[in-house]
Amino acid sequence: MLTVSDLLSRKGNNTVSVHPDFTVYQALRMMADYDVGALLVIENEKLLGIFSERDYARKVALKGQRENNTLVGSVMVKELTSVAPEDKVEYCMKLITERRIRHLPVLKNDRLVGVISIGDVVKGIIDQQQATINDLESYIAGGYLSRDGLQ
Amino acid sequence: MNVSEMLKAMRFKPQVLVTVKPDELSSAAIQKMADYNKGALPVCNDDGELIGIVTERDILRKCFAREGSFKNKTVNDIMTKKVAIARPDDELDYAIKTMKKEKIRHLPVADGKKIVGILSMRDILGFQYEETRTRIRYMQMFPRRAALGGVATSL
Repeated sequence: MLTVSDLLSRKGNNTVSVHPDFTVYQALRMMADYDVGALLVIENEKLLGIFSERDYARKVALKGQRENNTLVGSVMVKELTSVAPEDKVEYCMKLITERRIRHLPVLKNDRLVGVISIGDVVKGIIDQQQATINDLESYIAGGYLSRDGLQ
Repeated sequence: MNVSEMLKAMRFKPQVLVTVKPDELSSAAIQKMADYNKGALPVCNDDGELIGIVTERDILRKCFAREGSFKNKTVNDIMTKKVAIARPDDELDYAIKTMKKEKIRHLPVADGKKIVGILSMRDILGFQYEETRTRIRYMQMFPRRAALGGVATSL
């Protein structure tokens, strides 16, 4: 069963974060520079929230707020949905689908150790699905079931 | 499973195809996205032909360049014109690979130039997952063909 930490070991545990006192303008610049869809908002090493493209579109652009005058801390999402490294990828899928979010910060003992996106999960599921089906097909054909395929 | 089969199977989830016209204001597009809870809208001309796509990312990357000026920009100014699409008879795997390769989360489905639907990464995630779980459960029910005495492993 694929876990969050398997996904992190493939993509790395880098995260892109900002301070809540950054302006939205600075946050947008960072998202463009790092080509990410969301930023983690951190103060004193504590994860306070997340600010995504959707938050910008709906809370800033739509409401006619000015990017230079609005602070990330006032428009970020504070009610965070996070996962732990040992959580299964299926659990991530459930959260992404039901809560309609695209990013899951990964916390280990309240410490941020990475972030998983919808794209990471899709890639992980497809890789796992293919490996499992390969294994099962060889099992049914009479081979030994093993991680490495038919023996 | 191909794209059109998946679109049909998704009827369980009420699907409204929401589009915008190129001459609409970008603020109207953002409002539509919020109203229908979409992250991207296909852009169609008056004949229902797909001519582009506008996404939350386009709003972010292109609207803030000159602060405050997005109010006067039309959809045509900010949309992506070279839009990646899938055909109804494309395999779902191809759709997924395209999304990963182009780093996009939405794939309009076009029959010729006419748009027939749109697939999001989240739609595929939910659906593919259900399908795989069912398939694996089903395959787990099969006994092994070659009986290897004494070894009865269950998954």
